[in-house]
Amino acid sequence: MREFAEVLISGLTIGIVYFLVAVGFTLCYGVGRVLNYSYGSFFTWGAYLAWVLAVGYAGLNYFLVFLIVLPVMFLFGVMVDQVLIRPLRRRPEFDFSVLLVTLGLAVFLDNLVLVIFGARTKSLPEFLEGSVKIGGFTVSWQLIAMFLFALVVAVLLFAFMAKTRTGMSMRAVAQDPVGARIVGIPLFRVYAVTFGISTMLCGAGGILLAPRFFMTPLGGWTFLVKALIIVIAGGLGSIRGTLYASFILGVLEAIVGWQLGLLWVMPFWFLVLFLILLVRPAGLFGAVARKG
Amino acid sequence: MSEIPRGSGTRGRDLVDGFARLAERRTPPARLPGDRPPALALNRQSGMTIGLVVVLALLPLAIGDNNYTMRLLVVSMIWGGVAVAWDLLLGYAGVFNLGQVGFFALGAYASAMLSENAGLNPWWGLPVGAMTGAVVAVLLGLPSLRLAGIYVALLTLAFYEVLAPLLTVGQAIGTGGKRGISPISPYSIAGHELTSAQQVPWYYLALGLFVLCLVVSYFAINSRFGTSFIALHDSEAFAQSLGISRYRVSLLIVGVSGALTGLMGAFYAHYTGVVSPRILGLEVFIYLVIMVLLGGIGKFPGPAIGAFIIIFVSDFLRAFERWRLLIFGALVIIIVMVAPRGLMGALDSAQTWWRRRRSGHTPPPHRPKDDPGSDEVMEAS
Repeated sequence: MREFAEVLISGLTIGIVYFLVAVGFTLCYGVGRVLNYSYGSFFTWGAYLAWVLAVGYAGLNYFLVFLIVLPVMFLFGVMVDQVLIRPLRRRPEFDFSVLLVTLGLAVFLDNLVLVIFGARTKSLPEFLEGSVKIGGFTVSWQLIAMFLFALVVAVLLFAFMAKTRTGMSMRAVAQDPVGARIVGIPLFRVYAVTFGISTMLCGAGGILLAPRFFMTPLGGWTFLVKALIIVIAGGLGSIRGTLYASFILGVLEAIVGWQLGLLWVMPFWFLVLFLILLVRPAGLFGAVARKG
Repeated sequence: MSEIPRGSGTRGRDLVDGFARLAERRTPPARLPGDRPPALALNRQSGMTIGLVVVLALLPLAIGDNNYTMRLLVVSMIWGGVAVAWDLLLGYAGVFNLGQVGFFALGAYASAMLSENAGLNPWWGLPVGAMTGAVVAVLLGLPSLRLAGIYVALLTLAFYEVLAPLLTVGQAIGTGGKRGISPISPYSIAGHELTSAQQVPWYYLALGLFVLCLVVSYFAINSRFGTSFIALHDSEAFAQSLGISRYRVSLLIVGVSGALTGLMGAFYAHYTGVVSPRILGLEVFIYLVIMVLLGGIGKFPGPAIGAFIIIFVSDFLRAFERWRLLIFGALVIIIVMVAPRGLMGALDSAQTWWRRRRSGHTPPPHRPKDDPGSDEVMEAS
């Protein structure tokens, strides 16, 4: 029973980190109609950048690492949006072109990592060593730090979306791009900012999860697929749905990994996704996925 | 124009025009919308296909005993067949299926398991592989084709990514776990087992399957079904009012594409003698993407030609092992940004340019009525 509670706690922690990763993905689609298949590579890049700063070359502490990596990821995201995504918006087959471009970008970025850092797995050290006993359960400081950090970012994100002008513009664009433009919202700037934020969240997720999973140049694909499954299960474009789906699937991952081994995690995720889609074809909180 | 044009461009509007003319009862069109187009006519599609096949059939005479080149050609034909089958979905049906390699792998596994675990004659693997591909494709299509296009891409990618772990944990049913199945017995003709030292029988076997893929794809495109897709692409509401169900025609074409891919997978398993979850790696996937892209999406038989180019270029770049995928990734981006219709699209442009030069006048730029053009507001939707 106690073991079960510990697994549950670890599942919830993973869940909130998955939320960070998946919400960036869903935001990107909800606001900019971009399905970003290079998302997994951004994840990898976040983790490797942190590795360079924390372990490989500079030996900085984690606080500084976050302070440097997150803005860099933001700028990188804005650049990708401006150079690759924006010209495609004129095309009638925008969805499909974006899919291909981001796939190409993913392969490019992954192999760039491979060429620079080699195929050997790398690992980030834990943020904090040791563990603490709370009411009979042993919880490592690492998990607590992960949870708190992810929670802070999530709360900041919600506040940003609800209170700031940029956040409100993003929601307006998500609802109706034409209407948003009529009231004077700079559409392309909002798209760029959204892409930047999404990339940043993904990078943050990469840093948070790197100590738990090993980093490999192609490791990002797993997280892309995880983000995909979470996002579809929750309903594409719905932040609330993503939140619930992240927790459900995070806990499921912890339980399956504990009972059957990590190899079974993805098959089970897929099964759950299938069951959810059977009952609700648009995902838990999805609005319109069915076509007429 | 008394006949409904079948050239490239926006055929749906022409279809609507054709229907309008029909209603006016002036000159009845020679062909009704939905009628079978002249599949057996000699046009660029069929001409290039026949040319390609003839060249391939005669090529062994020129190459002779060069096993290495023959092997590259066999591999090109395998992937060329898959690329054409995939293009049926991507370029014609508008089904953004990212799980094509999954059908290929499952066809390969089905055939390999049949001959190695069940001990049946490898030849049985071909129909079984094709059937596996078709069944899996249709099963995957049943739920996902009801959803909007992008959801199909997401679901099929999830399917594709989940397949490798499944095949790894599926050791109990004979998938061989991480190492896969090896060796797989080759085909035998009249009691003689084919060996990798003699490429010629393999070559003509591959050519036969490749031709099958080309012929099936050609007739799928130039048939009532192909026309349905063009109509659906150009004006969905009008096509539906003619009684075309996107769900049903998509499901059918997904089944056809899955069958061809599974068939090629089965052949691949016995040709290479090994099948493992590694085939589901990123490398194979991106190769296939760039074959279709380079040849031209929705430009039959471009993807098949793309396959030959990519296999030989990749072989040429063997020395740059680590950089190869990096180059291909960059190439995908460049093609999409600069020449989204690939080589066949470039041929189209060259042809228009030549015609314009010869006729000496400039036709107005072709633009569909509902194209927002440079209106930035509409770009968002």
